[in-house]
Formats: sequence, C-alpha cells, structure tokens
Amino acid sequence: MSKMKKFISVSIIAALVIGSTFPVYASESYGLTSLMNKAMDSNVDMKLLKIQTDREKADYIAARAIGISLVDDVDEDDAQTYTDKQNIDLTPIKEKKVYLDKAYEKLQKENDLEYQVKNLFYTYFNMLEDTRSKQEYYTFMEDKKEAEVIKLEVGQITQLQYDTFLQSYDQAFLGYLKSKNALDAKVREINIYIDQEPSAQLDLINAPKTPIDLSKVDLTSIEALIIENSYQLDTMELDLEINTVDKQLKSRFKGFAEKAIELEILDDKILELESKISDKERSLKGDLYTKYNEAIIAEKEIEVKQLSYDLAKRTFDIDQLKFENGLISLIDLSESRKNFEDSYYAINTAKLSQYLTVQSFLDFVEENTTKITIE
Amino acid sequence: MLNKKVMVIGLSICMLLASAPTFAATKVYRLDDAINQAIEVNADLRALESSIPQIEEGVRQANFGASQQQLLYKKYKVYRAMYNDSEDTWDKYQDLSENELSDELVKLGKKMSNPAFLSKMEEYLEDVEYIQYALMFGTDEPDLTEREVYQKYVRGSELIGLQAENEMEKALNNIDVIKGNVTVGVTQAFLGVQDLDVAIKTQNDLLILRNKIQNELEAMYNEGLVSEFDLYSSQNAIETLKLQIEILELQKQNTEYALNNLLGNDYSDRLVLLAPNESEEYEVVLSLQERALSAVGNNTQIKGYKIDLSYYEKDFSLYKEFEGIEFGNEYDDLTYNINRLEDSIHKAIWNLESNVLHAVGTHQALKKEVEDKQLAYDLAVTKLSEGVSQYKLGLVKTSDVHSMQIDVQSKKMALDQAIRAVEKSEIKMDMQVEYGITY
Repeated sequence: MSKMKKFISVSIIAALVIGSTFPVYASESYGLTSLMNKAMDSNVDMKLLKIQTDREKADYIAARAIGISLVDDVDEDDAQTYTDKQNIDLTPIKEKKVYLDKAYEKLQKENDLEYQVKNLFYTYFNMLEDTRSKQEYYTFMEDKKEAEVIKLEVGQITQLQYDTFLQSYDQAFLGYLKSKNALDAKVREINIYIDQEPSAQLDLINAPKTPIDLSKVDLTSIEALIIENSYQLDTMELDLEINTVDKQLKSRFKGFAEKAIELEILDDKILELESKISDKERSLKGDLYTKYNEAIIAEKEIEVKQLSYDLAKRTFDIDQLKFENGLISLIDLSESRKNFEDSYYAINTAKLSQYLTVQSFLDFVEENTTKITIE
Repeated sequence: MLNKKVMVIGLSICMLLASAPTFAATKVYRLDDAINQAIEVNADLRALESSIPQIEEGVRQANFGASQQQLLYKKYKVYRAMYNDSEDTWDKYQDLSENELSDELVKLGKKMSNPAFLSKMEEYLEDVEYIQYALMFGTDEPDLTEREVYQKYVRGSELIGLQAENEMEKALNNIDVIKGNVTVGVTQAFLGVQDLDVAIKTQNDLLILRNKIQNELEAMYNEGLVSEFDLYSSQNAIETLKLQIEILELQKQNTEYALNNLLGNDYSDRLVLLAPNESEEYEVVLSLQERALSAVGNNTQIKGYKIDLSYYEKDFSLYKEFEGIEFGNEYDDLTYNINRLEDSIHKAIWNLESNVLHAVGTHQALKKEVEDKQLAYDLAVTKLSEGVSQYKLGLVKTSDVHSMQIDVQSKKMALDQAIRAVEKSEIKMDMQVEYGITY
C-alpha cells in the first residue's frame, strides 16, 4: 500500500470514528404547534389508531347500509331466521359501538399526546428559567467572593466566617450545575419523544400560554352538554340497545322464549346497564366539578406562591440595605437571596402546574362533550 | 384541538342556561351508615351478586356432568371387570342397578374363569356394550387401559366440577373484596372530609387571631411604633391564610364529591359527617394474638389464596389416587402451585400480623404524642400569660406577644391534629380486626 493510500484510509477511519463519537446534527427549531405536529407524526400508536378508526368507520357504514330488516314475517321455529334477523338488527349497533370506542380512543390519545408535548415544552422553559436564576445567584456569590477574600486578609472576618461563606458559594455552584444537568436531560427527553437522536440540538421557541378565565366557565351548561354528548354514556347506551334488541328478538322466537333463563339473564343485564348509566351520569358530573375545583385550586396556589415571593423579595431588598450598612452578614444576605430565588422558582412551578391542570380540565370537557358521530 | 376546547367553554359560557337552581339535599352519616349505604348502591357488587345464581347453576351443571361421567365410568369398570374376570353368565347381571352391579363385581372377582360366560361377554361387548361404552366415552379406542380411560374421559369432567366450585368460592370472596374496597374508599373519603373540616376550623381560628394582631399593628404603625414592613408582613400572612382556607374548602368539596359518588348521592349533596361515639373511651380489648387471628380470618387476599390452594390440593389428590405415581410434569406443576400458594399464604399472614402489631404500636405512640402536644400547648399558654404580664410592665415588645399568641394557636392546632390521628388509628385498628383490611 502506498503512503498516500495509507494516509487516505487512516483519514477515513479517523473521520468515521470522530463522526461516530461526536455526531453533529443540524439544529431544529420548534414552536409549540410544530413540536406537537412532529410528536403526532412520529407516534406509531397514533398512526395505527387513525387507520383503525377509519376502518371501523367503514365497517359501520357498510353494516348500516345493509341494516334493513329483510325478514319481517319471521318463522318463529326457525333458528336460521333468528340468526339472520340478529345479524341484520344487531350488527349495525355493534359496529357502531366498535367505531365509537375506537374514535374515542383516538381522541384520548390525541389529547394525551398534546398534554405530554405541552408538559415537556413548558417544563423545558421553566427549567431554562430556573437555570438562569441559579446562574444569576451563583454569579451574585462569585461577585462577593473576591471581597470576602480581602476581608479575611485584613481581618474583617474570621476564617470560620469565610469558610461558611465558601460553603454557601459551593452550594450556589452545585445548584446551578444540577439545574443545568436537569435541563440537558429534559432536552434529551424531548428529542426521544419526537423520535430524534437524544443528543440532537434543539431550538425551542417559546409560545404564550392561552389564558382561560375559569370564572366565566358555565359549569351548568357543560354539565348539560356532557349528559347529551358524552361518549362514556353513549357507549353504555349502545350496550343497552344491543341487549334490548336482542331480548326483543329472542322473545319472538319460540326456542328462546321457552328458555326463560336466557331472557332472565338479558333482563338482569338491561337493569344493570340502566343503573350503571345513571351512576355514570352522576360520576361524570362529580368529575367535572372536581376537575374544575382542581384548576381553581391551582390558580390559588399561584397566588399563595406570589405572596410568598413578594415577601421574600421585599425581605431581600431590606436585607440588601442592611448588609450595605453592615447590619447583617453576607451569609444572612445570601440566605435571603436564596429564599427569594427559590420563591421565584416556586411561582414558575405553580404556574406550570396550573396550566397543566387547566389543560386536564379542558381535555375532560372536550372528551366528554364532543359527540362522536358519523356524517 | 385547543380552539375546539375553547369553543366548548365559550359555547357553554354563551348558553348560560336559565335552568332552575337545584337545591342540594343535606344528608347525615356516621361512618358505619356511610359504609353500609355505599355497599348497598355499588353497581359492581350488585352485578356480581346477581351473577351468583348463574354461577351456582354452572356448578350444579358441572357437578351433574361429572357425576354422570363417574357413573358411566363405574359401569364401564364393571363391564370391563366382568369381561376380564368373570366366569358367570351375563344374564344374571343384566337387570341389576349400578350399585348392585358393583357389589356383584366383588363377588365376581373371587370366581374363576368360565369359558361360557366369557364367550357370551365377548359376543355382548362386541355387539352392544362396546358400542355403548364407546358412546359413553366418545371413543372407539377399546385398547385403552382403565386408567387411560379415566384420565381421558372422567378426570376432565371432575376438574370442570372442581373449577366451577372454585369459581363459585372466588365469586363469593370477590363480593367480600369489593365490600372491602368500598369500605376503604368510604372510610378514607369520610375521614378526609373530617380532616379538612378540622384543618379549616383551625386555620379560621388562626385567621381571627392574625386579624386581631393586624388591627393592633395598624394602630401601632399609626403611632410610628412598628415599621411598614412589619405591617406588610402581617397582611401578607393574612392573605396567604385566606387563600389556604379557600384551597382547603375546595379540597373538602372534592372529597365530598368523591364520597357522594361512593354513596350513590348527587355530587352536590351536602354532607354532615358525625364523629364516632365521642363519649366512649376506646379500649384495646383484644390481645395481639386475638387481633391477628381475627384479621387473618377476615382477610380476603388470604381467603383467595386458600380457595386456590384447596382447588389444587383436591386436584393433586385425584391425580395421586388414579395415577399412583409421584413424578411427571403434571405432578411437578401441581406441587409447584401448592407450594407457591402455601408460601403466599404464609407471607400474607406474616404481613398482616406485622401490620396488626404496627397499628397497635402506632396507636400507643400516637396517644403518647397527644400527651406531648398537650404539654407543649399548656407551656405555650403559660408563656403567653407570663408574656402578657411582662408586656404590661413594658418588659417585652408587642411583636413578642404576637409571636406567643401565634405559637399558642399553632400548638392548639398540633394538639387537635394529634387527637385526630389517634381517632383515625383506632378506626384503622377496628377495620383490621373486623374486615382484615389494611390501608
């Protein structure tokens, strides 16, 4: 092998090794909507659900098209007539139920994905803000460090006081590192969620959160919409219809009418379903008000955290003055500053939690007020 | 998607239905009443209970099927024995009942071979009985041994009978499982509402005190005795407290919704939850061993294991009886299942006993904690009283007196919570003994 050839092959191997060890990915920019679209497109379950929903819809339409009773004059002794009649009368209702179940599963999956993306997206910005705040606190401590060294040298502070300061300084640095590390992990998590290489560069563009004024939500109207449209009630009512129609059919055919036990079982089932539907109506109403209350509680938690932040901020401002006038130590000041930073982070966390709780409420409302129909 | 959601909310805002206001009913409960009502209205429980007659019918049919197969097998054994060993004539046995035939079989065994009878039997079996027993067992395999015929045609039906009985016992145990779950759910929600009531009351007491302090601070501020920051700080505490009370109220509402749901009430029904008989002093009457024994006896998980164990043991004894061997895959499977269940039962009993022991220990510790909290409260009251005296002499500042007042209130809250923790631990202990429930 010539020297040149050797050089080329070594270069290629080096390039390959370097390439595999340090992959360079083009940075992708995503806003909330584009991130959501990307997550939807890359989710295999979602794709499958879309196909399945379309297929179930087609099956239902086909079953409905032939769902005209061909056997009006039934031969009460003929088992085949019963089977034909059952196929014609029951199949469309059963197919409708299968379609409804699938369409609802798809709706829920879409909402779950949306929720997950929003959670990841805004948690990222929350963590970004936390990292910035921790970095600021670390810089604050860094700025004081030099002065503390001088104070130690001229004997203004003792070694113990300086060591105590150093401990706080280290904690500030550690806090920043932890926060940065968590942010990096979140980026990897988002990448995996949207089916990208974990280490791919990610450029997220913040989007304002859509505000919802919960005080204007008319729960009574939503309650009425739920009773009218909820899938959870519709699917149970279809079950009821299937059993009722089956009972009517079986009552008409001698073979079944003689087997009283089968009709009794259906009667029990019908009664059980009626009772379960009424239970479901009650529990859905309860769920609505529970979720609404949870959203209100989350709003109030922000107010609590805001009050705590206001107090911490004012305390820090005063402590700053006290420190400048030599009334408190740097340790006390840094403690005060840390409280202020922590309370700021607590507000952001409460805001994120409130946003997600409201999303969960809206998802519940959507999932239970959207009538699943076939045009 | 979001727009759709906003539309739904928007629509409902616009609709503002002029529906008649609904008036929530007020319902009063003690814990026991609530548990009983929730059990009565539970849909799953009703469905399971209504399915019991069907399961019973299944057991009856399975046992009938098994007994029919056993009868046929018995007949088959008689014929086979007669065919193999008898020296008598067939006609003698033709009109005998099954039991009589069995008795005769014993006698037959004692007799020597009779060529005339055997010839008759061969003829008979070839022409009629072979067809008959072939029909009985659905087989045309006359070469199978007696054991093989049992294994192939009888054991299956006996197992179906056993399985049906097992299913029945499990269904009955599941009724108890659901009752247990409902009991736990109702108890937790019931106690949760009461906890929140206590918390709201104590926070309101604290708010009254904070407001009083705030009024005093305002007066002092006007005289230049306290700083604006002191005033602000106190007001901030009041606002926080108000919000916390609102949050507690909402949490209480949610817990009431959950309880109403379990009780089969409308979500908005107002609940008045009574304390257990307050005047009665709780006594740990039963010994630890008695408590553990009762808990183990009533625990549905252990009952479930025992039902399965009994099934496998019966299956195992059938296997040993007819196979006469103690090896093979089936033997290993059955032994494994029996060992597994015995192990699960032992562990569940140990866990439960440990829980019982822990609950009694916790109860004692919590009672001691009440004494401690009482002492701490008494001390705070004394300190406040002394503080007020010193304040009148100008020896302590107003802010110190305020801190002491808040401290008394905090100690009172801690005492109330400790008393409540003892009450809850007593309920927990009762549930362990009565239902074998731990939570």
